[in-house]
Amino acid sequence: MSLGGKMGKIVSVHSFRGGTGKSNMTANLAVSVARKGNRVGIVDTDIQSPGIYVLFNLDIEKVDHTLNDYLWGKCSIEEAAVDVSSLFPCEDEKAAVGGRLYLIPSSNKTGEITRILREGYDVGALNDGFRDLIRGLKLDYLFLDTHPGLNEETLLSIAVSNILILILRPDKQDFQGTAVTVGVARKLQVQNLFLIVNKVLPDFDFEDIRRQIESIYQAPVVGLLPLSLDMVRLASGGIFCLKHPEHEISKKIDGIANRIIANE
Amino acid sequence: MTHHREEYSREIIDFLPDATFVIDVEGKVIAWNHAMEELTGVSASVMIGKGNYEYAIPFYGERKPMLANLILMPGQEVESSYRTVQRIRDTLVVDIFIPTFRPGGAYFWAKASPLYDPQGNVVGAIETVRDITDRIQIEERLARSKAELQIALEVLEQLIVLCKEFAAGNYDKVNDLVELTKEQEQPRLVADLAESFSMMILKIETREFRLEQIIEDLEKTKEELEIAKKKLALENIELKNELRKVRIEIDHSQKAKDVAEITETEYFKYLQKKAKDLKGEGR
Repeated sequence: MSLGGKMGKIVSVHSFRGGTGKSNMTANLAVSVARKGNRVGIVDTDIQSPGIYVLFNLDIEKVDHTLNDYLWGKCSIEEAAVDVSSLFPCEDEKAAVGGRLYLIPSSNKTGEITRILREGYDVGALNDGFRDLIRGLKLDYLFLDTHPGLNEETLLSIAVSNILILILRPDKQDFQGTAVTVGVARKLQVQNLFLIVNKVLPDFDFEDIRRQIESIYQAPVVGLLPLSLDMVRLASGGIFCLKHPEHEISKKIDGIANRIIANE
Repeated sequence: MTHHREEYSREIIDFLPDATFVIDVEGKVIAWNHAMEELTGVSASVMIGKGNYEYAIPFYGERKPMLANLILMPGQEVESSYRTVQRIRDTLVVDIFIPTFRPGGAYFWAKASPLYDPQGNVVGAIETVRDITDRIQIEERLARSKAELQIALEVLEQLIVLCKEFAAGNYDKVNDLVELTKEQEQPRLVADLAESFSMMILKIETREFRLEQIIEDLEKTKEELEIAKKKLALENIELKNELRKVRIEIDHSQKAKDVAEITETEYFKYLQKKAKDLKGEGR
């Protein structure tokens, strides 16, 4: 893909509170989009509590550079990108030609995490990094896995995103926090705001929840995913849609991936 | 010779096994044998020569013509005085019940014939009387037994029919069974049998009635349980629906406050200003 001068899109995956399954959703969506023949990148912008690399079985100790190194000017952002395409088979031979997935992990070293929190970093450089990645790696989609809440880098990732995916659970605090995030995102003129309701008890009335949420937030619910024991059992031990391709949740994730791709 | 013959005849008469007496045409007793003495308790010496129906007294307690007299009265109506009357030429054979003969009465069979002289003239009449009370009583008992047996058979047949009905579970005719126990004419055995059957049926009926009541109670309990079950199911559905519904409520004033807190920061204002460009750069 990435032909005809068409520039890649930034997809921010965000949730107001932790534990919504945000990193899992980001990884699964990125893999699904890449498997359809797209060049995809994931930046773990959750510098305070990085973790998405675990899902890709990445040995962070053996990685030469992380996002932290880029933000401190120790390397280019492309140098921090790890090609994790070998983890997944492409959906068909033709797609396999173009489909790639790069992960730009954050450091999991306590010292490096506290330093960046203490000293801060140039948020503008982060934005430059996104742009460099899209250009350098010829990405069709760049997924940003953000830190929960609304701090500076989160606001930046919301501001730069072409598609903002907000993940929430059917929970009072999530409803309120998501309302704040939606309010902020509207002021940052996010063009495409999608909602995913995750970890819904299978007993619940899914359609009723969809109706209420779309009415309250004035944004489409692109996915309503049940709380799944299979997902719990996998316990961040891999990419769910690769381990259980026929699972109801995998099919729903694939549907969301199609929705992202279709959103031209 | 004649005298000898008469003497001889009298001796024969005396020793006849049946009670016998002879009267002459005037109705006087000329012979009263030993068997007659035994039957009536009146000796020949007293009775011989007596007329005017004296000989009827030991039998009837009064003077009245006996069969020997009647046979000497041609054209006399006889049938109304006896149970049975049979005429064989000039001989009459009858049966009679004399209630006064002894306590409880007595049945007699009597046979009387006229006596003729060698010239063929009627000279008297001879009557033989036999106490047949025992025989008649036995016959009556036999007849009664036969009748009772017939009734018993009929009742037993009815019992069989009723029992078949009961066996088929039809107790409508229990009253008929009870009626059988009240039947006066039937033998005691049959009445007892019918009574036993009635009691048996009564017990069965009582048991069945109890069973029916238990079944009825069970049916009622079952109905109540079903109603309770339906009610519970409805409540469960309501509860489940309640549980399935998630009420999404937003505190809008809090939200506005939180949004303002962020959007009023310098950094946000910067981002807001640059948002378009930032996205443009992304493209």
